[in-house]
Amino acid sequence: MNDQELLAQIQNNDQLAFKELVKRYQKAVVNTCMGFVHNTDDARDLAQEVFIEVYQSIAKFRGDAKLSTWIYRIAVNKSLNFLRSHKKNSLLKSIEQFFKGEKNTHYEIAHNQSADSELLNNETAHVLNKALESLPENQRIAFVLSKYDEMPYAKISEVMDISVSSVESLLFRAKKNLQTKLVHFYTNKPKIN
Amino acid sequence: MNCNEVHKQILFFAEATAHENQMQEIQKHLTACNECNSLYINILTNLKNIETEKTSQSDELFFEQLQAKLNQKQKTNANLHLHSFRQVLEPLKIAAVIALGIFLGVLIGNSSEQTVQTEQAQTETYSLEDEFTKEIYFAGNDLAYESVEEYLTETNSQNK
Ligand SMILES: [Zn+2]
Repeated sequence: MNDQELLAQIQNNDQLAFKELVKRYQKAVVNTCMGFVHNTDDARDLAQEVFIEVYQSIAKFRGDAKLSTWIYRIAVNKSLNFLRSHKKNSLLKSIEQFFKGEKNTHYEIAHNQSADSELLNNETAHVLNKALESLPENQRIAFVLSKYDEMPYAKISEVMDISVSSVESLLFRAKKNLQTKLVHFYTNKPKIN
Repeated sequence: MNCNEVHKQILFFAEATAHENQMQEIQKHLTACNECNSLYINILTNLKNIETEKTSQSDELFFEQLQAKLNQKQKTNANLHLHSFRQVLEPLKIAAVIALGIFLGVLIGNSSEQTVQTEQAQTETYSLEDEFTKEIYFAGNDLAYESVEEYLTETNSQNK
């Protein structure tokens, strides 16, 4: 059964067809979300939110885009919204801490960790995630879809609704920016004896 | 190739997407430069981390939990609808209570008027009864009802 047939059956309230759709896109959606949030539980919760939205609005889906493209767009939007709300919360928290006159605990933890080589080694694998967060949104989306979903350029261009050459350009700039940040981080970090 | 030139290609080298001749140049530099080699290993670790973050196992509980969440959402939505229906219903309820109050008020008003009338009727009955007892009372007292004229005529006839 192809996606079109599956869609028609779901729109006819076929629960088994919806189950099949979830089975078909579950891993891809979890991976997309993971590319943004880098936390297994959050990615899983977000993926379930994605399918809830798919279920609730599939009756209105008119097929202007492919079913898969539509699902990926929902996944990207949900993940970005999740990050925005978290950023807002942590900004509010840091403002609160500032006005309360509390010390920057994150900064302290980071410096204590730099004394522990094991922790730093563990941390080193996540430098890319931090660097990814600082990229412009469209570069980040292109990078996540390319790396976490292993999407070809043509599919990324469909999901992002831009040309294939724009995708190429976005990905190249994303990698260049990440490289600059990673090189800067690793060539300037304190030496551990 | 010097360190700076390597830095400009190191991520592309790590993901093996740099040009072939550059791949060879960088490889050559890395075998000779410890700093660039350690940078390469760190960047490679980061790229491999993407692979470890990606899910590959099938998650059997995913759909069950999704279904539970969907049911919960539908229940919440139903409650929300009920809540908004209640919100609409609330002024109607108040209006109904007021109307009922007015109706009861009118009803009580009417019934108390009837009570007053009954009371008045009862008062009238009592007065008739009083009159009756009075009559009885006066009936026992002949003098009270006898007119002066009758009394005089009787007295006159007795005297005759
Ligand atoms: Zn070097």
